[in-house]
Amino acid sequence: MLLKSVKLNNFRNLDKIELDVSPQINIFLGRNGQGKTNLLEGLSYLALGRSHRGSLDRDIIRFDAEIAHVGIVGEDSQSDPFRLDAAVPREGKKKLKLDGQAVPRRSDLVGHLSIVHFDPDEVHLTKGSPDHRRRFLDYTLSIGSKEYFRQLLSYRRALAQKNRFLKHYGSHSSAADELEVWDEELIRFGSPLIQARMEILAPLEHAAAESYEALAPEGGALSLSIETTVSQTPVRELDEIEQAFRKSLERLRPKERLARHSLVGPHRDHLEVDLRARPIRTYGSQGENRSASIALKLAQAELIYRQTDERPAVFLDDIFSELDRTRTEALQKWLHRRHQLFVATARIDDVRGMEQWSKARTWIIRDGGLTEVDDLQRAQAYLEN
Amino acid sequence: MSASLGSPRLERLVKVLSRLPGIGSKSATRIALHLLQAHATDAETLAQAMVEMRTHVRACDRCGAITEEPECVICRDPRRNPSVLCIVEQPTDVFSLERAAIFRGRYHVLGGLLSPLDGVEPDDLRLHALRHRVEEEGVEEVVVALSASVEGEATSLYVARLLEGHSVRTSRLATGIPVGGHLEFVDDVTLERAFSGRLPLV
Ligand SMILES: Nc1ncnc2c1ncn2[C@@H]1O[C@H](COP(=O)(O)OP(=O)(O)O)[C@@H](O)[C@H]1O
Ligand SMILES: [Mg+2]
Ligand SMILES: [Zn+2]
Repeated sequence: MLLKSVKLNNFRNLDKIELDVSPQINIFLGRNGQGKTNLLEGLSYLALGRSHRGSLDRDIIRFDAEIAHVGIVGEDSQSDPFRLDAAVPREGKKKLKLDGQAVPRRSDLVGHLSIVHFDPDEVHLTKGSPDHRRRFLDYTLSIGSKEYFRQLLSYRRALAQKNRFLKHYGSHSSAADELEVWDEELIRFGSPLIQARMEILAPLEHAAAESYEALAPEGGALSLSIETTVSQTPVRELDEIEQAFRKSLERLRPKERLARHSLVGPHRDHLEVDLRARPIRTYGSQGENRSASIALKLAQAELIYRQTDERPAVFLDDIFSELDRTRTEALQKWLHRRHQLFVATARIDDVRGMEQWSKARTWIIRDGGLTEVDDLQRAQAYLEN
Repeated sequence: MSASLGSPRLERLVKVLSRLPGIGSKSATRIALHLLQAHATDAETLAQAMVEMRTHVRACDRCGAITEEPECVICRDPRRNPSVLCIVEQPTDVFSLERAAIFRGRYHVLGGLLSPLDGVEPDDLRLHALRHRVEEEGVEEVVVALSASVEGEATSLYVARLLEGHSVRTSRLATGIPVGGHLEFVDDVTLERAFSGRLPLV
């Protein structure tokens, strides 16, 4: 997949932007707070129809504006073009379009814009909260499958309904049968999620272990597992998962009523990352966690490629301060050979040399405005004073 | 809101109009100014039509569809098969199905879907009336034709469970209706296919 151009209007602090990008390398240089992350957020908004950082829609609209617009043109590996648009108003529903036609759901966008993000948060993936690793799995599977994303959104909706129900009527015993109905919805939409996560686990582990070996030779074996709240024993087949899920829900129902919120389901499952058979988040060093996180992200790019036959574009947002110079270069080169790259940084040293690579384009970003530069001298002058 | 129009009464009308679905303050202003400039009887006719609609149009006592009588034309029609009941969310769904002319039984309008997030509980839906009808009207089959949204699915299941133990078959429309889709927006061919391939619910 290649991103070709983007149009943004009233998106965060950015000026009205119309940008054609390079099929190879795009570098955005700017001091902190100038809009680099905002720009990357805008470029990736239409992958799943929402900020990849999980920001609320109303927060991406420019402070003084009523509606934000995002438009993306790209093409797939067969050179077939696609066009995605979003209009995000402060009041009312956002409108999404695929190739100029209105589409009702975010899941209708899936299968076109494909992006993998490396940012400082992602560099702490293995050490961060379990939520973070769950989102990592969900993102990998959603970018790769419209069906997964649709079920995920339905699952979240059913879960929100159930939690509201428990909160308001949790202790009324007469409300029993409605709770069972919401639980059935969780089983219906949640079981395929668990199954898909179980299925991707082995290839993901394989790819991550390989990358880890490359990043940290003789660093030991990296392995992945999923701890699911629906079953103590491993489950794989869909009907197995459904049965286990139903049993756990029945068993925990009194507890859930007491707690007044849901306690079991794929929204509570964990992706565990082990190094040398021990949880890396507890026992791993800083460096090991960093390498493992990067290995996981590389595996994510690889798995998305295998699921969709499309290489995702890779966004590198301010991650180099976390890495030494040799690793930075190795990573940049490795990614450059396979992916369209978007790099944002405040430090010119992070991208030195890159601007010489073929078809590199460089912009300075300053207070939400972009200026293209053809050599780094000018950028340096700006960044340094 | 909009700038002063020079008349509090005109502004009030704009405000009231802009609360209507699909009408923003711009179109509300346009409509209000149109009514001001058009013949006086236009505004009177409109006002009268609205008031009369509100006084005479009501929900059918039996099925909940729209009618001006105690019972709607479908419930009163002796040629309609009383042993099959089609459950829909809104009165407008009855129009969609009637337009497609594929269903010869009678309807039952729930008036909503279960949704704790919107504060809609079973007691807010016409479920007691449904059970009553199933018991009293010799109903043999209940076809649940709710939208394929999360709430539609949950409500379908709730209805099916409610009717367990009554001697009726419950079925639902087969696929073809898009996930999250409402019957209003489904074309006739799709509706017909969905109807002919209905599936058992439990
Ligand atoms: N909705 C918004 N409207 C206007 N400005 C915004 C909005 N959201 C964030 N900003 C501004 O964007 C700036 C941060 O931009 P960001 O892209 O994170 O910078 P960086 O270049 O460091 O990545 C902050 O100054 C913030 O005030
Ligand atoms: Mg930033
Ligand atoms: Zn009727």
